Amino acid sequence: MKTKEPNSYSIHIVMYIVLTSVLCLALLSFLSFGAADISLKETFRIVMKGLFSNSLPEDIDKSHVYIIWQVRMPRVIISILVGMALSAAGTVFQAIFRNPMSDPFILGISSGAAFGVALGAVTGFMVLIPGIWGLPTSAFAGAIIATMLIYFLSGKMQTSTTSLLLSGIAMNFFLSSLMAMLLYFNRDRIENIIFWSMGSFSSANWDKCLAGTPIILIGILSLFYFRRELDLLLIGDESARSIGLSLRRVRIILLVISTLITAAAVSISGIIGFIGLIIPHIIRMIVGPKHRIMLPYAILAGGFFTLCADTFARSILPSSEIPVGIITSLAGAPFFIYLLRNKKREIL
Amino acid sequence: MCNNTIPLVEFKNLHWSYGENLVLDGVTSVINSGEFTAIIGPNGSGKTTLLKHIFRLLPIDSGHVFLHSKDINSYSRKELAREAGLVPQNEKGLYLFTVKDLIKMGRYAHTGRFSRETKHDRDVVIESMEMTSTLHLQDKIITELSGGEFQRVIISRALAQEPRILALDEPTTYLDPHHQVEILQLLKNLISIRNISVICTLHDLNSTLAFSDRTMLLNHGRIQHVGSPESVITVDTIKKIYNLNAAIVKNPLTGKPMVAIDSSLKE
Repeated sequence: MKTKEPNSYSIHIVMYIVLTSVLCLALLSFLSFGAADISLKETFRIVMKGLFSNSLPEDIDKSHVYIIWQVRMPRVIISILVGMALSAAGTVFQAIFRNPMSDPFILGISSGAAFGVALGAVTGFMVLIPGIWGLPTSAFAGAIIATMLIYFLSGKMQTSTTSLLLSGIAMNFFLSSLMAMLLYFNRDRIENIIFWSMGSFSSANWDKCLAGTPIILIGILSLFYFRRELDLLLIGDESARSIGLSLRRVRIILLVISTLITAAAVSISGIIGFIGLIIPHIIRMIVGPKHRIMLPYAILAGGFFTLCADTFARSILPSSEIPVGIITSLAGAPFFIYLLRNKKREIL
Repeated sequence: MCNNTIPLVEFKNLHWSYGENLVLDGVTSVINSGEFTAIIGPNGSGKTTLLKHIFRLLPIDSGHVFLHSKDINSYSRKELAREAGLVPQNEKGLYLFTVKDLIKMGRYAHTGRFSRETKHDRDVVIESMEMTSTLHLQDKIITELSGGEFQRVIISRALAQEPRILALDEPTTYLDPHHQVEILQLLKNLISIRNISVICTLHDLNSTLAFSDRTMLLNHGRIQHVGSPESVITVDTIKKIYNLNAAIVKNPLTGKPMVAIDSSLKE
């Protein structure tokens, strides 16, 4: 009996390569979008020169080089990374809680990270940690506490959709009011944080890119190490354990990884909702739930979606920009309601 | 079977309670290898709980469970999965895996993290599907299956673990009579073809009489009777345990004993 498996897997590999190329092309072309009028052709030239030679031709505007390399480039890279991170984290949270409604935003884990950052900024904790690491560390501290709370709350009530969503909503409310209180008493220092907490890539720079990239990339790659365990998590606790899964250990490791990824994303861009909910769902509907196959698609699609959303957010209005979190929520909230109303909402 | 004397699973004074509720109240018993062991008893008598203890799915309050004379706690999860496969009652099948992908999960305990799927892995999966007649379903999505098909797929996944014990929790409860006979006949065949032992909780007394080699009757978390199905399922025990008037008659088709139940509940 011949099996078709290796064949169909190579189709996916080809698709990954194609999609990665599309993503790179989109990245390059979206660099030309924005307030300063830089043509697509000039953008390409600036990027190519920057990558492959040190000297710049006379006819290229120096300020354009600065805008492309110091303003827009870190921003598009960060938006892709954050999208990848949130989509990967959403995929994992959905498997861990065996619940299609899970996503770092809905569960309140993003809010936890944001609260960690706000608290870190207000108390001065963030300054204690040298260099670029203060922000991600505060975010992770906040996120891991939120994750633990959700984990124990949902464990007590079994992971039914309703109880999980309720604990997430409670968590979101609780952390938002804590944060509001914090901001109220520290009005002077906090204007940046308010804008940041709405989700935006506008403050992107190479420092943030440098702080977030290793955590996000290592986190995402390590998920592939657990691809079979992620599959087993979907079939249910008792079935998975009887097949040989060390359930508690795997769950905790995966929770820590996905919380790290979420915190890194939030520390760069603030709270951007719904990416972790929508993207894994759509991908699962198209290629099925097997993580070896669906994870790369979910990661690539998450990056692509966020890149598009941010490009839209920064170029739709001529003089100012809107927080990208508003765009993703506008797209995500209706999808969330559709899922809630759909009878198949328990199916992963 | 030549090794009937070696106990496969041994329960020693096993206690387990759920909150205030004492579910297993000192179960001491032995399950032999190469047999079809049926565990019967009223709802809430502890059948499923006892089955779960073979897989260390619940923490033991007191007592011991031995598998091949070794304490169950000394096995790793993967070692346990290579010894025994479980067909749980509560798996809902709310996922979009294909039949083949789900059955392949049964190979988890046999394959290392970085090793590729071997020819042996593929052969075992296909053989498991052939045995349960699910080969033609392999590319279907789980949510498209009927109850009987899903049950066979789950059995197939447990067989892909290449276990020496197959444990099933009420595998026939939600099936129509044809599928009930089909599943039980399959289990019976597996004992002779694959030389595995079957432990199965059942509600239907007639299936128990027709298929099991050994029957264990649980009530209130204690073992009431163990032995051949004919010796356990009697007019007296049916009256005592299930509070029903019954008669044991001869099945005109098979010649085996069967239970006829008085449908009025009079004393």
